[in-house]
Amino acid sequence: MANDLELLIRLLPWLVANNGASLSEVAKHFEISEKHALELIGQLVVTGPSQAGGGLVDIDFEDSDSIFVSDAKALDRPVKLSEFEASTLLGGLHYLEQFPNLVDSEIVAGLIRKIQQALPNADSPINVVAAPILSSISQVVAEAISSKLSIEIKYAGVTKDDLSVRVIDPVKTYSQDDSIYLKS
Amino acid sequence: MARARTERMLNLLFVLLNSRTPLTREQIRERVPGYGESNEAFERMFERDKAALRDLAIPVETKPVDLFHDDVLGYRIDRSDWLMPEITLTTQERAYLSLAASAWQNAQLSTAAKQAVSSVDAREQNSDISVPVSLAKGRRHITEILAAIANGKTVAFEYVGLNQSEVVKRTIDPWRALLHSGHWYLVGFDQEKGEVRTFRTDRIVGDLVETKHDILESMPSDFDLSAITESWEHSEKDATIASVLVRPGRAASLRVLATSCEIGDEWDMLTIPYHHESQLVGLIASACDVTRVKAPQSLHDSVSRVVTTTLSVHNYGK
Repeated sequence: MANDLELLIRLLPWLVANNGASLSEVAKHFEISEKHALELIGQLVVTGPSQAGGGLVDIDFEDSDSIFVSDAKALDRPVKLSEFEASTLLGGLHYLEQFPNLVDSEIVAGLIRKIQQALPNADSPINVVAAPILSSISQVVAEAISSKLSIEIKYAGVTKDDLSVRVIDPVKTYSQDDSIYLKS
Repeated sequence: MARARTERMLNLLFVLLNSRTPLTREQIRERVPGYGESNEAFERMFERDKAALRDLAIPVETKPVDLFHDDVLGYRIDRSDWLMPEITLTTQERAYLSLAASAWQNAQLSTAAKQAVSSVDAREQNSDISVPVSLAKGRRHITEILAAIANGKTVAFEYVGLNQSEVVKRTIDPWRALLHSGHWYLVGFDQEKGEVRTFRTDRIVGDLVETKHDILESMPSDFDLSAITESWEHSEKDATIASVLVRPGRAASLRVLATSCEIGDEWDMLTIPYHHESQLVGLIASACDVTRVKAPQSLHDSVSRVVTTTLSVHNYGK
């Protein structure tokens, strides 16, 4: 199959990282049948840098519930991220960082640093300027959510031409693009 | 690809990956089974295999075998060029990684990001943080912009500017995608104008196309996007300020534009900055039964004109 080589290159490092995985877990992750997964593993164990004794990839897959790689012949780490893949990941992380109400921004910032240290050319291609929320508002909302209180809000609907006063039980906040929304 | 060829290419891969020094063609031929009997066959198959590996973005190095024989070339794959370095993550970090990938509400970007997560840490994640986040839902062009930035390619598209009614073709070196005030913008170097420009993605007409050309002007390493966004906010300070009276609870479409609102009994007073009357006249006129323009006079007059014209056209009298 045309894509088998790519699959094989992804499969071996994945087996190493998830040593002891079952055949069904392999099939599930790669979205292939268990039969196909078995064939691929079968291909791996007859290849390697040398056809002489001990020169082949070594995988114990007698027990299909527990597949162990004992020698991956240097193909034991995933392939480096492409620039595009790295940018989507860093973009997503940069976005999360803008919402300290929803995530621990410091941990996210540290995570971005770790990835950039490993991949020095990688950069987030997006900049997010989060919509400003009056801190008085976010404080009241946070307290109401944690104490399970009701709050009264004046809300300007954009589609309906009215300003309504509502009493709501806030449940949680979530973000969509650059704004934070309140679900109640 | 036939199974036999897959096997041969895998073997070639392992041979090149596990060799500390570049290997000559002869050495490769000895180590990799299936290259056939004749020299011709070998040359042909080897060239095709090398090309196929490079197509998969596998960095096959071609180097002189040693310093004394720089005319003899050898091949190898450097593990640190090709494979991910080890990155140790805490459980929390791993969870945030998954969250970042699932934030994208766009199939291509989400798939690429999830693939990236698996490459950074292939261990299957059991529990995910369930923080509902959503990025780029229903937005056009974001994938193309991000791909062009990653690939360093110039893009071409047709665009309708704020004060234009015609469509203009632009050729841009893309630098960044900016999300600000609910809108996505492409920030890049306009080759024709010779300077940095921003383009709102919902004013791009048709497709945004990545050209074959590498970008001419790279983003400077000290490029500061906040200079642009701050100038937008400053330009709000340079804007004309309208004072508009609105009946309490009405004209929400005007209220969202206001930078401040004074609540009153009969009337609320909105302060709305604007650059062109066209931004406000239509909105105020269509809510004319609940609005009064206090200042500036020019805006007041423009609104009156529109209302009067509309009324007379519909024959509703004065």
